[in-house]
Amino acid sequence: MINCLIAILGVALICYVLFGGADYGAGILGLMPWGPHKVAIRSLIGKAIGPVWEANHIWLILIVVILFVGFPSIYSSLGTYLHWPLVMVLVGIVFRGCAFVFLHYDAIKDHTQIWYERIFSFSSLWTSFSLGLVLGGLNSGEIATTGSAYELYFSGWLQPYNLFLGLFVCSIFAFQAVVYLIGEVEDHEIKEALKKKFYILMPTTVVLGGCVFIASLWTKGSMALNFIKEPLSLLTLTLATILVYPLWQSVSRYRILRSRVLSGLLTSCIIVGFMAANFPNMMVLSGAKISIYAAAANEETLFQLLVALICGLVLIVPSLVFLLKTFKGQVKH
Amino acid sequence: MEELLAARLMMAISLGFHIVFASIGMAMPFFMLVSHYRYLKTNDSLDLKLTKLWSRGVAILFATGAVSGTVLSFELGLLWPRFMEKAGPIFGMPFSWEGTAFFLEAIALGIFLYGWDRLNPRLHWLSGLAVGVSGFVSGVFVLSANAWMNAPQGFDWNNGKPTSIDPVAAMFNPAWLQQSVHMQLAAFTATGFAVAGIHAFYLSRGINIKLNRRALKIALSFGAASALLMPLSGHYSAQWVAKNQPVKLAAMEALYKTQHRAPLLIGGIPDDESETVGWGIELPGALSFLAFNDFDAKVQGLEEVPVAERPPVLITHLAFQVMVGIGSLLAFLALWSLSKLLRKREFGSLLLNILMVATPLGFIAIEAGWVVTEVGRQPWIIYGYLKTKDSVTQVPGMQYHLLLFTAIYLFLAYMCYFLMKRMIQTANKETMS
Repeated sequence: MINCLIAILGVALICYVLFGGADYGAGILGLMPWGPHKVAIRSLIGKAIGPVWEANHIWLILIVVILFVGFPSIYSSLGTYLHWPLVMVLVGIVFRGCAFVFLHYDAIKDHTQIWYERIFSFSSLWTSFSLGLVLGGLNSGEIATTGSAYELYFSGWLQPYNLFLGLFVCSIFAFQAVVYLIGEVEDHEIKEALKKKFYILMPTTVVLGGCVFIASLWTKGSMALNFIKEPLSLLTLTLATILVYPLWQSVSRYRILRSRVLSGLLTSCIIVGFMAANFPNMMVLSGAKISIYAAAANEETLFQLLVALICGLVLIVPSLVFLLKTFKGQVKH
Repeated sequence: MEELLAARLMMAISLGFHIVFASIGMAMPFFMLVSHYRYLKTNDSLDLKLTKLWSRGVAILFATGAVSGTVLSFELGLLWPRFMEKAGPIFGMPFSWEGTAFFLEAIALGIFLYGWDRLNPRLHWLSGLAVGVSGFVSGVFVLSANAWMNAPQGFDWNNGKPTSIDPVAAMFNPAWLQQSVHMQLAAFTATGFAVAGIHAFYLSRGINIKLNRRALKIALSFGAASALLMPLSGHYSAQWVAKNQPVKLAAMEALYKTQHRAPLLIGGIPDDESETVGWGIELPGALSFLAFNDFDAKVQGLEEVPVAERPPVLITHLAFQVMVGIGSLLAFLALWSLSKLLRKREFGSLLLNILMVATPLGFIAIEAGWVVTEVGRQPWIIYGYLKTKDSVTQVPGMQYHLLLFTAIYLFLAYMCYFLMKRMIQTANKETMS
């Protein structure tokens, strides 16, 4: 049972990074220079993101709920030792969510639209970066449980490792968005412009990934060493590196579906590698590794949680599919 | 500022902000459903315009509520990690169900908004119904989680740690029904009167009379019907509190001494030092009667518990007075409006003006009601088991957290006002021309 929940947690994280990541990335792309295609790219970004509200936050909320019901001590340690980067994430989510809604539902389309777009883009970048800080905080090994306020609440996420991880997350999200958006446009010039951005973002991501690895050696957690020690992580890392080549090829030839699948695979490989390198530990506090098994709640609660999750998914997935069908569907006359 | 106070204020502001949007998200889809139904029956373009106007409002307010709700799911852990560590496994059940209901609401709203011209009309209306129903249900689940903090059950408490946890028993705790009924009615009352008030504003200025008159009629019917049911639900809730949380009732009524024939206090400023109340009107025996259906029943006073275990009396009492006062006023307004609506009479300018002034009253009452239940539960976070001061975060600097989010909420509130104003003005212009 506990393994089922851990699996759902892992799948939720992958889904959040894949689907939510493309949403964030689309916002980040709004900050890049587009020259004459500025207006077209903007409307593309607006259209590409889900109807009404960012449905992809479902995965984030799923993660939060599983943690506080099923693994309460991890949830409370997160809220304590990574308090401030989580606050940063929240600020970003608030501004992003609201800017998106204002952008779509303001009855008068005037100069305020530009402000909504700017807020949306900046907060997309900000949130992605902050998510990286939090993620790195889990395994930087720099969180102390006794000592000064800085050692307890800041040093865990203010290492070069976390900063690079934050940038890495931004660039992964951005290149995913490019790969996704290329398939959503007809205009050849815009496709070209997007492709050029991919040619910049892909190498940036690889370089930043390397920086994350190297920087991790300066933290007590030394994530890079864990990666090398764990066969599964090593395998996924190799796979991710190999996948860069076919992805590059298929993007340059506008193979839409293949590019999307490959970029999804590549990103999933990185996440699985990251998770496997830490598993079964969720956090490191003062050198003590907190195992997810040790943090689990009682059996009855886990069972009820699983029932709720399964029922929830059975209800939500078909309706979500129906929504997307309606959203993309033809307008009848 | 003290860290605990900052954390409590932060929670109060977050909840106080979210509750407005959550209430609208629960009630307003039903208004929209009525005008949509009318449109499908009569094919009157006025109903169509009204439905579209309202659905746009629902979209903006719902999304703001969704964002503030996401913040809350994190804030429980950011501000009260030691509470969540113990309580999460016990009362997390309704939260996971609430999450499901909330997503169904978001999805259904998406289908509704994009469904014009894409779905067959009946299915389209049903998607609107799904918005209303799932919003309503998600409200019930959240209330059940809060009710558990007032009436905790489904666990054993050993040395400050919960054991033998039964999440189902926790979810169906003794308080969930009375709290849910009370809050849902409150949401319909507040939203009904608020929407009616806004349309009354335009109506009284002679702007777009047909649309605003119809809107007023629908919103006010919901608001008035629930405002009339409210006193019954309030009475039921008060009796529950009298039986299960006597200290809260004593604080609500500023009753320091345990007594038979306890008086109902109207107004009045309680003074903790001298344990007396100044400036109030007392109705002898009325509190005993309302709480226990017997004029001579004994009602516990605050003296039954040590000072350290009493909630802040002044705040609880005043908030209770505000809530009951507004509730009574709205019930009176409901009778007045219904007498016009049922006889199909025009609303006079006096009534329109009063309705206009009453726009925010329902929400003020909701906020006051939450102050009563939350402040009245102090010093406990889990009633009788865990104190609020023992569950606050150890992270220093909650004042900054408070400042930051207060600024954000103020900005968002302003933006919502800005968007609503533009939306209604545009709609008025469109239907006029």
